Amino acid sequence: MADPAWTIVSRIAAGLLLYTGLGWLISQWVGHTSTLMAVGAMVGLGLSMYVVIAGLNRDGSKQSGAGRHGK
Amino acid sequence: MGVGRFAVGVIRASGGLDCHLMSGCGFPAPGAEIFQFDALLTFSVGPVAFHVSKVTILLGLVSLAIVAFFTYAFRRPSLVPRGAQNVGELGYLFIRDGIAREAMGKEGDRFVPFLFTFFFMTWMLNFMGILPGAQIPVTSIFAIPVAFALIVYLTWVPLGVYRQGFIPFFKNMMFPPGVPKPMYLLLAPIEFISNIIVRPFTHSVRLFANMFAGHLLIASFSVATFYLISASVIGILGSVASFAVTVALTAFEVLIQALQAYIFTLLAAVYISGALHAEH
Repeated sequence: MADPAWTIVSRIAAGLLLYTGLGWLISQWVGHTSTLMAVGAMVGLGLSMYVVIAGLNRDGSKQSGAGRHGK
Repeated sequence: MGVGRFAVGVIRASGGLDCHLMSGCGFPAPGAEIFQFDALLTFSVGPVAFHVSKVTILLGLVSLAIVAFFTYAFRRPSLVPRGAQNVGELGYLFIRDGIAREAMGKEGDRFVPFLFTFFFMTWMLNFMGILPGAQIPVTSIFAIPVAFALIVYLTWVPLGVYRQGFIPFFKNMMFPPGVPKPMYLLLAPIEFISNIIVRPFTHSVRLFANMFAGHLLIASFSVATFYLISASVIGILGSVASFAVTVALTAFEVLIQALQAYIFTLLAAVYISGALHAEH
């Protein structure tokens, strides 16, 4: 997509929301309140960073013609 | 009339004529209430109740003004454009070359009317924030950017499904290439939420928050100008400084209004472009 800059915020927000929510749900289920929620937030932030960087790499290699993945 | 009403508004927001720095009156900071307007007219069609306020009226007037201007500009188009037609063509070329073709290539020409409407509508609604007499950016009422973002959302999602097919559309969105296979389990939900849920939200909030914050800043410094007037050096200096900041912020707002309208339209074009062509 031609808009790396604009997708960063929504990707980070999505990752945080999803995995914090997942952590909260598991916390509720297990009974250890809010510990897993914090873990979830960390995991979510890490994963969304990964998505952002992977996306930027993809756009970068597309612009320079020959990418790491040979496309 | 505009300036007079503005002064009355500032005085009312400042807590009355007697509320000044030395009169033992705290700073009456303007809050969310400056974005709330009483209904001037209430009527209902069946079960739906309509409340017409200043904002609704401005919305209607802006629509009419835009239609009137461009109808006038292109009423008798000539090969060598003059006057209003010149302005109209400049606007058209800016949207076509600067936004539509930039995001979608030649194919973008079909979406120029759509983007054109969005750009000028958003821009002029933003501009209402500094027009004397209006003085409320209509886009700072959250419902309006939400409605705009929803129209864009309901355009690119069905368009993507139509052009790429239902399964491939979501597959292209959720499984971007260049990621190790096992990671998809963790990443695909992020991509889905970021595109389908967060995207329309950020699209509307970006416009709303910018206009809301800008209007609140101008209001705060206008109220400060009035509040600080008092028979003291600090009061006079503060008042003059606040007035200067109000003027500077108003000039800055002119820039932000155009910029936010451009960004809103550009993002609409980028979303449509993403729906037309899958990410490869």
